[in-house]
Amino acid sequence: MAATTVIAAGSVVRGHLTGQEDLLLQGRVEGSVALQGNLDIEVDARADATIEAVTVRIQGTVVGRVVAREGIELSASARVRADLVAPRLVIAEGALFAGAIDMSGAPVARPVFTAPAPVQPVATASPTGQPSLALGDDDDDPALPGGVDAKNIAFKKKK
Amino acid sequence: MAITHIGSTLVIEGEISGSDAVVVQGRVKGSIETSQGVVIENSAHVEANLTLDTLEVAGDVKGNVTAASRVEIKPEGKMVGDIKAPRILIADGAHFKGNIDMDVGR
Repeated sequence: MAATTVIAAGSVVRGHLTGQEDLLLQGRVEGSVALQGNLDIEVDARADATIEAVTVRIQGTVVGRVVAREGIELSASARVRADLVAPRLVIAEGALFAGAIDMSGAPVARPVFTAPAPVQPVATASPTGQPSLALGDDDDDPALPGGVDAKNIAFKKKK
Repeated sequence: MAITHIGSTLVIEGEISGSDAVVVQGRVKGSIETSQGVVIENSAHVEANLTLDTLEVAGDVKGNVTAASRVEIKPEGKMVGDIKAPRILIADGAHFKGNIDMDVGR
């Protein structure tokens, strides 16, 4: 009971809405919704909003943008004009949809940024306190990466 | 009867309006306007102007209230603001600071 918010059919909420619980929308929301829970938009409900939630189930009308950490489901009665971002997406037959879909998600971008991080500790660990090596690292000497690669291969072979 | 229920972890910055009863356990900053009753529960913090039929305060309210019929501040309720309502109840133990106007012409 305490973990679910209900916006009933006769109610309109305008503004910013945040929370750590599930939200059942039967009325209207205009603005933004950010939840660490699930959002359920019922048949006669309408959201003109930027939405962030764990899962979003849409049976009503949504205009704006929907970002779900786990998944978005558009039921047959859904009327959606929005950009959808989620790793999983279901669009049922009968649903009306216009907008962009991105299912690639954020996890793809993160390894690209985290990948250079382990390389640097290896490069700084290899020089035995020699300043010339540190300078070479900054200048991108072709000789250095080769040496680093050779060490990595050597470690892998030992294991 | 339809009830709009704002759960305990929810924070709304903006306005709630409509024709449903409203129960607040979380936080509302802005305004609440309804033709039905509003209940501000123990865990709730409301910083808003309220226009409604009846109001029950068991939580924390800062703002002005205009009620068509009745305002009740429960023993655990805290309220700072002006109240305009034909009937007002303040229970023993309740905190209140503000002006009261019962001359609403009913």
